[in-house]
Amino acid sequence: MAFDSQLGKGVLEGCILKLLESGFRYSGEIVMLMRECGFADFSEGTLYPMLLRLEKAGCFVTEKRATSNSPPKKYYKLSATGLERLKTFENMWNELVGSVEKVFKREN
Amino acid sequence: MRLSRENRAILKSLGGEYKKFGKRLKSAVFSHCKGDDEINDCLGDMLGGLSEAQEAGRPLADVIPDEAKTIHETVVCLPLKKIPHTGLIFGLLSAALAAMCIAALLWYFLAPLPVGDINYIRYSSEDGGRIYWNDLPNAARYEVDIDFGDKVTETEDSELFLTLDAGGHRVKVTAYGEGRYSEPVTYYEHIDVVYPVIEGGISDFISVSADTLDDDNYSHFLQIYSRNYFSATTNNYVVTFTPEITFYGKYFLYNGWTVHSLTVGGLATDAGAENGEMQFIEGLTYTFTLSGKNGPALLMNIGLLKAYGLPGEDGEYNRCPSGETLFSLSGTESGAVYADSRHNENLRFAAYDKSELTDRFESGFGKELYHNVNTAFREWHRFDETGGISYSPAYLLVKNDSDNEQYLHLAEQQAVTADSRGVIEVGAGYTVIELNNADYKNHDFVMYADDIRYSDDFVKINALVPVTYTDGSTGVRAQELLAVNKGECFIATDYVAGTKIVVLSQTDRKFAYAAINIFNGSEENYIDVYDFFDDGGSDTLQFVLKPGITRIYGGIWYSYADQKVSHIDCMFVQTVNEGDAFDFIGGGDGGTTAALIIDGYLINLGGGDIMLEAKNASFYPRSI
Repeated sequence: MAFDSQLGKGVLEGCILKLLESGFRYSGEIVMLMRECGFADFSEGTLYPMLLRLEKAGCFVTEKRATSNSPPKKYYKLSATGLERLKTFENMWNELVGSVEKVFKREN
Repeated sequence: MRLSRENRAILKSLGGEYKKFGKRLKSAVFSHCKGDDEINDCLGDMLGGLSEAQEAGRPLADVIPDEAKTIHETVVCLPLKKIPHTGLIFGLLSAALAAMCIAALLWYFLAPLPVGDINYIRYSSEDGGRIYWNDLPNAARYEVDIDFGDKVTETEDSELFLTLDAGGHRVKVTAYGEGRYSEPVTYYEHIDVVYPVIEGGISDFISVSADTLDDDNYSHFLQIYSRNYFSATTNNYVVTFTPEITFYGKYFLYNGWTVHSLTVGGLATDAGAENGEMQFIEGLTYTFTLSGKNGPALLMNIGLLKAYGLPGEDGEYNRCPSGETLFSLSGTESGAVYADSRHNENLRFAAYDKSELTDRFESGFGKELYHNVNTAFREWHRFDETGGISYSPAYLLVKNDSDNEQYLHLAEQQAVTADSRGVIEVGAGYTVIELNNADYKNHDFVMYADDIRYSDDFVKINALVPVTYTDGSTGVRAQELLAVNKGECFIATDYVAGTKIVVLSQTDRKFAYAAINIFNGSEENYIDVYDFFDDGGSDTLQFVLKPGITRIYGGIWYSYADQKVSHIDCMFVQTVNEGDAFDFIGGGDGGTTAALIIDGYLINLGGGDIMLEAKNASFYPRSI
């Protein structure tokens, strides 16, 4: 599924916030989870600017963790601001889904 | 700014397309973003991800599908560098320079421009003269000033047709444009005009005189040709010739030739005209200055009119057909023409003098070529303004504007003091006798000539009484000429001062005349028989008969019963010579009741007084 529109960006952003709600994850893990959830085209090239933008907005708490054979990885987890933004997204998304379903289930 | 050691190590570990992308990302971030820590933190995360993906064997396109988009979105998420001051100043200077360039372009395209440059002014004598200069495409008009304002004119073309006199001239041309080319340009040059003068540059001309013309022809042509060898570069000639001609004429020029001047005779047309009217007089030299094209072309035709003598031959009317007729005159210092038609308003004439053409009209008639013969009679006088000397006109040009032939007569003029008696001699032809110096109210003017003897001899006579028309103009009231037979008097009544008597006589003859006032008994021109016998004296009637005419009136001779009137005649229009006895003409029959009223005119055509005596005359009847 490709999302190039603003709506797509907002949905992807909401999904990333949701994945980071439960604990710390690093970028490669996020990409893998997104692809498993159906966003097959989702890549690091999309993720990195998004993480950077959300981090500047204060949505994350980050920490670096050393590894044995590779450079240290940066892990992300939602901050209070991030949680609030996730909540807002969920409300808007539910309203949107409800409205769209009504349209599609309506008999002409 | 520089990459952290950890990040440098990661970047170094990358290979192939990963390394290439890593360098592009690093270069872009360091170029546009600030903050080493923030940049290295961001790059560290991204480079680490790239290293992991490379180790996993994933292609870069799977990790970074759109390299440029990823780099751009990364850069804008980091703090951007500020524009350095030097760049700002440079930008401002560039903007100012651009504004100056725009202003310069606007000035270049919108500023008023000179209409152009006039580089030369030339003059050509061809086609009657032409001033020309180089054409300015942006000029709307040109102002041409010749000789410092002596002549200023305008033209829309880069030439002006104008004849310049020979000599130096300053010609100034000012060109005016429109729109952007609103700045006028002035240029002047001194031009020397030289007309090549070639004396005698015309071939032999035809010499025409009156004798060479046919009587039936009214016009002939004097043709002037240019000589062949002048068909070179010059195009102006001076032609001098002496035409032996005595005709009024018209000239016509051909092939673009024009007359520059006619130095003698005051050409009656403007110089430069292609045709016109002028008069050639015998004995004068005419100098034509012609200009025109080269070549042996026909230059000039001069139409000539034959001159007819006025008055014409004996018995010949002076015919004036429709159009122009030229009469030659001789003799009188002043003259008059008389047209015997009462409807000659279309007949006009112009009198020409031998020596002067420019002032050839009588005083008071202006410069008109023709005078109207609108009242059957017109006279001319020419007087010198200073000396009062009159000149004889040599030619009379008559123009008949009607379709009908008319007749014109030259009349001699004589003046008499008509308040007395006298004898006047007139020549054959027309004579105009003007009555002067009296108030002729209640007068009769009587004329008589008793030598009309033959049936083909004739005298015609008429009175022309001056009148003033309602428009203030003056003229004469004319009548048809009256034929006067032998034994008849011509009597004009109710005439005024200035009345003219026109006499047309077959031959030279004498006329007796008198102005008689029958209401004034004391006048010597008038004898009242009653008054004579009222004296109660002698029966012999005596009185002096002066030259001219005396009127005798009154007297009734009665015959009572057997007293017959044996010999009673009245004196009546009979020639009486000095010393001769005379009879009364007419008379009664001598009957007892015969009576005769004496009322007639006694004529003395001699040079002196005659004493008349009538014996046995009586106012009352008597026996002899």
